[in-house]
Amino acid sequence: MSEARYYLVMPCDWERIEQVRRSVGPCLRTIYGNRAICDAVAMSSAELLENAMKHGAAEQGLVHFSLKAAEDGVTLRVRNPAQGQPATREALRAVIEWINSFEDPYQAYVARLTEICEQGGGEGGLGLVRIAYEGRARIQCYISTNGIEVEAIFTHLED
Amino acid sequence: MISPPVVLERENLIVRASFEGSVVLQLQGVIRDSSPDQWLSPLMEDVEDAVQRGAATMVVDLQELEYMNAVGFRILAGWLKRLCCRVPPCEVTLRASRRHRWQAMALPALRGVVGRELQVEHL
Repeated sequence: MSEARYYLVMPCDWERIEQVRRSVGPCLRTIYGNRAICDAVAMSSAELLENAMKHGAAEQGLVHFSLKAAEDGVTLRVRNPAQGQPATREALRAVIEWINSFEDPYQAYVARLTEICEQGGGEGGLGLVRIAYEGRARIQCYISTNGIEVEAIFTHLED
Repeated sequence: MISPPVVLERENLIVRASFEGSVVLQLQGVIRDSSPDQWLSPLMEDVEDAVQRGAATMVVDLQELEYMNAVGFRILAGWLKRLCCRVPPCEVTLRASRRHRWQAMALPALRGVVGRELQVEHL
């Protein structure tokens, strides 16, 4: 069975996110025949790294990125060893719960876009919502003394 | 008065804007900055000026825009909504490519939110 693993411990440097995004797609294409899942995971890698770097990684300086791809799906994890502010942690948890409360992530995506367009709201989790909608991924977060880890699991591998 | 064309070049991105009759914006490359509004705002103001002076239509060509992060998409979405809802409205056509999954999924949803003044052509 084909499998790919990708693990990086990288500095909190925004410029490096694009290098990861560009390398994830070709890595996945060694396993999956369709480009859609490769593009979705590449986009999700960039969005999760952006979130980690925006919300506290600078405190510790390093972000942990891991990807495991097999024939039954892709698991993407980004861990920020910094604890961040309590409000940031709760906001992250709340956004993920909110996304997962929708039966169809398209509804969450439209709701967030509407909020942005109607109220000029901040980004407010649009990156996470697009992972759920465009990537059809299930998102979870884990908060512990090791930091904040966000996980996205992709099981819809068809076009 | 017609504004001269504008070309914005950044690492991995070229934006071309022309203002003859209708406004045409062409984006090529990748938008991945943490604060793209810093360099997009002057261009957006130029476009809004052109609309204010009577340009009733705008084409935003995204076919060669390989990737845009959520920060960039939020700015684009809010801006298009403002342009399409002004009085009189500006009719905007987004030219998208089916090669880019994010465009195929995000732009129809955006059209649903913005309304009929926003059209999406998937080429």
